[in-house]
Amino acid sequence: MSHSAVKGKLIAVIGDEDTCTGFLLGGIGELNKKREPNFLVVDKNTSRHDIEEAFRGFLKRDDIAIILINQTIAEEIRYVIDSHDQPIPAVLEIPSKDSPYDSSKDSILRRAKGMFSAEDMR
Amino acid sequence: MMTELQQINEELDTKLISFFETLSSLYQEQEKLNDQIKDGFWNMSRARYNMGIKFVGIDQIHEDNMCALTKVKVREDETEMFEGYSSLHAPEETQPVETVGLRKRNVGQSQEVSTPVGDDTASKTKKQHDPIRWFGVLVPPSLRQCQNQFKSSVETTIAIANLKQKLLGLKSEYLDLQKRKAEVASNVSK
Repeated sequence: MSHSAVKGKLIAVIGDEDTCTGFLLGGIGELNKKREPNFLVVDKNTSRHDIEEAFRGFLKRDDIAIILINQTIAEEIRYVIDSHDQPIPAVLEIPSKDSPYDSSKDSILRRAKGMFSAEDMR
Repeated sequence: MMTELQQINEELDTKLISFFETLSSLYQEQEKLNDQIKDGFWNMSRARYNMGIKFVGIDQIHEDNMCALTKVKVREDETEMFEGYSSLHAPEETQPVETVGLRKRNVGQSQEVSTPVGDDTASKTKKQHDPIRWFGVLVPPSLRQCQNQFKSSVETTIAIANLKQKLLGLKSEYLDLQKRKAEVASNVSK
């Protein structure tokens, strides 16, 4: 399928200042027609409510294919991430400057490993 | 009936092996992403040391002329759901920006549309600038390295997104097979 047949979607990022700066430098940033950015910089003054609102906003947008979120920030809105079960947009947890990635906390990996119940192992 | 049960068991084994292979690849990609991001942060810190703390940060981002260089094609019917591509040479992605202003008239018979005069009065397409220009013209090599690390990490995240979708697909197929096996097993016992 050629490029002209499929409209490209964006990668959104929710993260601390350095994560957002890095990924925007990497060339993923764009404003949509309503002049809404596809990133949210989270600092110590950003409330959980603001993060949740931004995340839900990204989920609703049809021009976003993948949402990158720092795992430390994902921990704050874990209940929202766990409730998202659609394939698009895909939510990926990434490491931050302060803390490395921990696969045991990852929502998708926990969901995938959930197929092995104790009864299956008998 | 037993052969059907055996067939389902074999399919279950195949799915399970495929699941663990995918999981192994996912861990490798995740490790790669960790290293790329870590190196990116390291180079960003070195660039800050060279340029000054205030000159490398989110404040330097020019939102007005921001245009994504990497985009993702989504194909739900294929195994690789997400495919990243550079939108630099994709003509359909250019966004026309109409501006009103003075135009040259009667330039030539062959030109149907009049040629705009001056930069601010042009009818032009929104150009895709290299984001590194936000930080100046002569940027240190460490900032370029940082940019390359984050560009690579964008590609890795797309690979991880594909692997995670594949993992969830294998899980649902495995659970379906288990249900079928339970049905067949109950029929055999009757």
